[in-house]
Amino acid sequence: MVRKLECECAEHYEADIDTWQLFQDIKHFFEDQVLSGVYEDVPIDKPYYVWQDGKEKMIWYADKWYKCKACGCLWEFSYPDFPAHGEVRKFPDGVYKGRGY
Amino acid sequence: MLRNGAPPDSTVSGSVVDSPALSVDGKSPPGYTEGATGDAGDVIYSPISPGPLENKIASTFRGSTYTKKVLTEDTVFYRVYGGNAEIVGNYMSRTPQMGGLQSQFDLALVPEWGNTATYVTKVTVPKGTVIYEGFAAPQTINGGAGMLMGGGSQIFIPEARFNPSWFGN
Repeated sequence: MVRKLECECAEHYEADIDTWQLFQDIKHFFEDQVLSGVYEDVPIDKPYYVWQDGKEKMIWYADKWYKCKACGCLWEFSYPDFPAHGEVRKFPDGVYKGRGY
Repeated sequence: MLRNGAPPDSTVSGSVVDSPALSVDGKSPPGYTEGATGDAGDVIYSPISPGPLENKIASTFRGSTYTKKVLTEDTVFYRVYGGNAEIVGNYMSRTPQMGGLQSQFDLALVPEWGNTATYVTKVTVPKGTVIYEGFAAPQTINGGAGMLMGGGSQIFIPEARFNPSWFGN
């Protein structure tokens, strides 16, 4: 018998991380999902923001990407560095898109 | 997270000389135009002229406006830390800090961020370093019931471009 892997992706949304406690809660959530085998920590291969002016270039990457093994949803997790907020972005189809600014 | 930073000041045209410090009272030095290269070789970025800092960082500056500068001499800045904020970090101030409420107000340090503002350390940044400078943006507190106005000097140096040995001297 093969047990179907179930996930909670549909119940979770993107988030602006504006407190340390929220950051800890979300971090623990993702870590728990990995430990339980539902999510996997996948390599980050695309930046969310690239700025270039002539030869000068700055490329910004998130801190973590998690992929849901059940539904294929991709989660981008950028840690806060207060006063800069953190962020969680969700890509239900698993296809990454930059932030577009 | 900045993973790949280009060498400092690889494209800013013109000679780089010391610039007039941004005034503490919140007014920009005369002659500055947003989105333009300043007379002193500094470059000002704003929402209409987006710069190298990603939006979450740019928005920590008042009006999401900040100036890229290259230090022409070794310069001492001040970093406020404690609690969840470590002694080494990206943010600092040109203005000497007292810590506590003074720093929380001037730098708009929201208590929920976990920076207790208990300690202040000097940060000695060497000549030639690229910094991003502006004023701390206001922040809402207590779920929007109050506000920290900020307005103090705020410096940002990306982690990829600083050396931890600069801190605590």
